[in-house]
Amino acid sequence: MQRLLSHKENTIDLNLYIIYEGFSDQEFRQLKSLTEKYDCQITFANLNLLVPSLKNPGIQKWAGSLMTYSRLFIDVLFPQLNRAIYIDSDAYINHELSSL
Amino acid sequence: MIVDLSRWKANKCDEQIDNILGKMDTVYADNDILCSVFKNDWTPIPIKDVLVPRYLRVGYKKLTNGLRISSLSREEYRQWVSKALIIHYNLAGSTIPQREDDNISGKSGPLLTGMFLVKGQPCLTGRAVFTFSSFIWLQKCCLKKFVFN
Repeated sequence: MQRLLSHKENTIDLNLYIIYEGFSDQEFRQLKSLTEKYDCQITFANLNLLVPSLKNPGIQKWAGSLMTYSRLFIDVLFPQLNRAIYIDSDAYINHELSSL
Repeated sequence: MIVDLSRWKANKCDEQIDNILGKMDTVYADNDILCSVFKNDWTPIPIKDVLVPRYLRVGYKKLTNGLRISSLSREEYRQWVSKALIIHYNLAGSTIPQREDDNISGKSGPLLTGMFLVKGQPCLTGRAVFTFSSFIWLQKCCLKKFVFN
């Protein structure tokens, strides 16, 4: 996220949407502080609270979590969006992304 | 993943996902579900935009136009990696930037078994293609190591 923000051009409005489970208060504060520094909007969505379908007992966890399913519910979590770039947490942002 | 959410909603993909979730026998969870719902409605992102270092290793034609790491010099590999907008280290959840073998130094490392999204084909086929490619690549690497070292 730091890399994404550091590449942000001043003329671009960047809105970050974080899908999470189990963040601590400190982690929320750190992320908010980081986005304020770069004049960027950030919105959080708790996957487990907002997606009732994940309570289906037949769903298999991946590495002990249901987070892997988060991108299947972008439309549910953020209904106001018409287009989104989903980036996994193990991605490295090399350059500014506006061309995408 | 770049998502056209207007189209997603118009095609009622959320209903399709709900119908599959928890009922489909998946190996790679969300990837398999995406394969099932969007099997004929997706386009690969060019590797100049999103580069998965593992893809270069196996040189999957549809994703890399046949580009294969074994045909690249270390400098060429560095250039590909440095130009990409995003480097995604993941493939089936086992690779991270901090791992030495996935670092942009270009060192070789262990292969993963994983799956690819294969346009217009069920995900099992994609997995088989990938696994077979990985196997061949591994054989070539072993051969080079034993013969030339």
